[in-house]
Amino acid sequence: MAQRGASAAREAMAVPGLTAADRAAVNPLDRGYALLGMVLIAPTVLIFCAVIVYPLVSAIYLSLFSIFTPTLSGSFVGFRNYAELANSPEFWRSLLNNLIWTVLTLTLQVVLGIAAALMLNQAMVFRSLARSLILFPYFVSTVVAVLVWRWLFNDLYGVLNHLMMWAGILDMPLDWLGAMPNAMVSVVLVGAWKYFPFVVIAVLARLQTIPETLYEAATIDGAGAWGRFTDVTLPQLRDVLVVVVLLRAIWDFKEFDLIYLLTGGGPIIGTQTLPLMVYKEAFGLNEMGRASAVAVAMMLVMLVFMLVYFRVLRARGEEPR
Amino acid sequence: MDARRAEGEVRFEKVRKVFGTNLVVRELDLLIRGGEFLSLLGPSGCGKTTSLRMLAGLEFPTSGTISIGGRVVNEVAPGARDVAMVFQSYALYPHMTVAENIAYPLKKRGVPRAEREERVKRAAESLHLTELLPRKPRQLSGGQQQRVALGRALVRDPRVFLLDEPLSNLDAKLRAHMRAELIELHQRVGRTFVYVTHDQLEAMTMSDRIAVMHEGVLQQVGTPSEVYNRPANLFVAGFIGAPTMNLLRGRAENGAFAHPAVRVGLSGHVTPDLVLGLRPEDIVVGEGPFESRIRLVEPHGHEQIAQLDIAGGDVLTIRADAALPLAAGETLRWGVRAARLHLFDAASGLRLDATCTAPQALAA
Repeated sequence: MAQRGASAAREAMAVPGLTAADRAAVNPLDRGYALLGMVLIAPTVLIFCAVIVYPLVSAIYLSLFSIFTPTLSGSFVGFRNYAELANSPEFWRSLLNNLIWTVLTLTLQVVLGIAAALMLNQAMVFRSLARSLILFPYFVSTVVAVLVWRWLFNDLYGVLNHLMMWAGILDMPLDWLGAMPNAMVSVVLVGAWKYFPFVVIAVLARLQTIPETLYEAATIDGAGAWGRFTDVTLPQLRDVLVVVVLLRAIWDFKEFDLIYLLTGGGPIIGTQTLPLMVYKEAFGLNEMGRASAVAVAMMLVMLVFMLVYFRVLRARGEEPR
Repeated sequence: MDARRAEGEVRFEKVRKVFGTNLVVRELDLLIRGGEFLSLLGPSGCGKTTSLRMLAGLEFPTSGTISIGGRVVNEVAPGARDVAMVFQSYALYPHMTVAENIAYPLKKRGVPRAEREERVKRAAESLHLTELLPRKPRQLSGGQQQRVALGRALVRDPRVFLLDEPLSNLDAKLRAHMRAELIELHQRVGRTFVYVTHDQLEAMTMSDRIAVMHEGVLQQVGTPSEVYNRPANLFVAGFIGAPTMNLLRGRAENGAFAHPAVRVGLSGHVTPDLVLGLRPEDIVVGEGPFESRIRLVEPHGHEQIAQLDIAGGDVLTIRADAALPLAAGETLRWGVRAARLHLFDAASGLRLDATCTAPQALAA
């Protein structure tokens, strides 16, 4: 109400003598800049259409056909692929696996990432060395990392079982990758290990910009170490965590190579997520149409979660700055 | 009221602070009386902020003891010292509303919600913040943020208020306004205020007493008038007052202070090498035994400040009524108000007890 009053007042105070022609006048330079702007963004728009819009549209298009992958020929079936998916326990199981994997590994990544960032933000010996080393898992190629982990997890000669038995934690060797729920736990752990450095980088950068006086004020106001963390650090990290969680959630949800290489989706379909199901339908079962339908369904699920995510953020009463 | 005053007494005893190889505060002995407004005044790097931070518990003294209300607090955590601090940057919690910011220290002390709300309301009223309570700090102007920071201190009714250059980030007009509000606030709450500033105007206008520091050493403690009228040494003499005091180096000769341009009779014991301190306002313009050329004139509206080239290669700053026709290049007659001059020993820099009697004509 007050704002409307203020803008009305501003209208009334418009410069006397200003004519409609003055307002409508367009600077020829502005027109030139606008043209230049369009020329400059044109390549981006074209590439975006070629690699994003075209595959998206063609996936939706393909999902309406029953297609044999090697020949890419087949017949129009309408929404039958979707109907079959809705009745397929494998699809729902894969979706559930996908959610379990994403939520668990993302939670671990964030917790580990914040903890490591807090540690690296402290004054300590070999800090810059530690800061570089902690990024190591993120830089290692997934294939290499997974091969090493498979060797560590191996139920016959893996060092993990050996160490845990030696320490008395296990009596018998554990089948880390070939039985449930061990396989899911293993996949989640390796995912967390591989991707938590991303959280560390983002959080550490933000930590370094938190003013020291806020901690001092909180100390004098009577906050202990935990109080300073929850009342100063976490709120300051909020904005960066919103972005980190969003990005990591998208990337984890569509993660393929790490899971495929580690368990191949097994045992049976115990760790099969939707991206693995797309791959299996398209190239294992040669059902390109159904694979496309799974991919489109995956996109819809992600869209729904993103909408919910932003809705929840907005409901917290915080406009993103 | 007396108990309230006693618990606000602060004592620094032989306090030293060393950062690495840097001696920041050396042997600070200072008694701050309960309920008084004391300013720690000095140029940047003089150790005033470090002293305040040691009192807050944010730094630990290398040696010596600090006590509040008769209790040594060296080992007491900042939150348990019953002191509140206002920072130069305000240090408001950005994600909390004004009300939550002010309530925070009470919440951390386990004050029940109903009482918390009541006390926040009262603090907000006394600082004219009531309408701003639901806002976030970034929606406030600098002056409003400053008042919220004061409110966060006020709401606790702490024994000691610590203020670290709280007005430096405000514009000149707002600063003058906040000075008046701070004086009023201090009178109302009757608590000890320790105020760190490099601005002598703030120190002079608000303080009961001023402690002047320089290079980690306490130079003088006294009321604003004592510090201004009886500076204990050359540093205080040169630091307090604007424009600054003129300091002329000369010798004691036949019972008079002798300088190529000035000669003043002396009474009392003096050392052979002297520094004469003349405040610009203690120089009589237009009459007197001395004569010098005007170097430049700065009009200030209500007065003018001029610099004179005097014999011996020194420059003398004077203050004159705006109506006087002064112009650069002209010759001006001047004298001194002898009783108001200051004498220092040139070797030690310390104030001498001797007094000046009367200006004497210069030998031709």
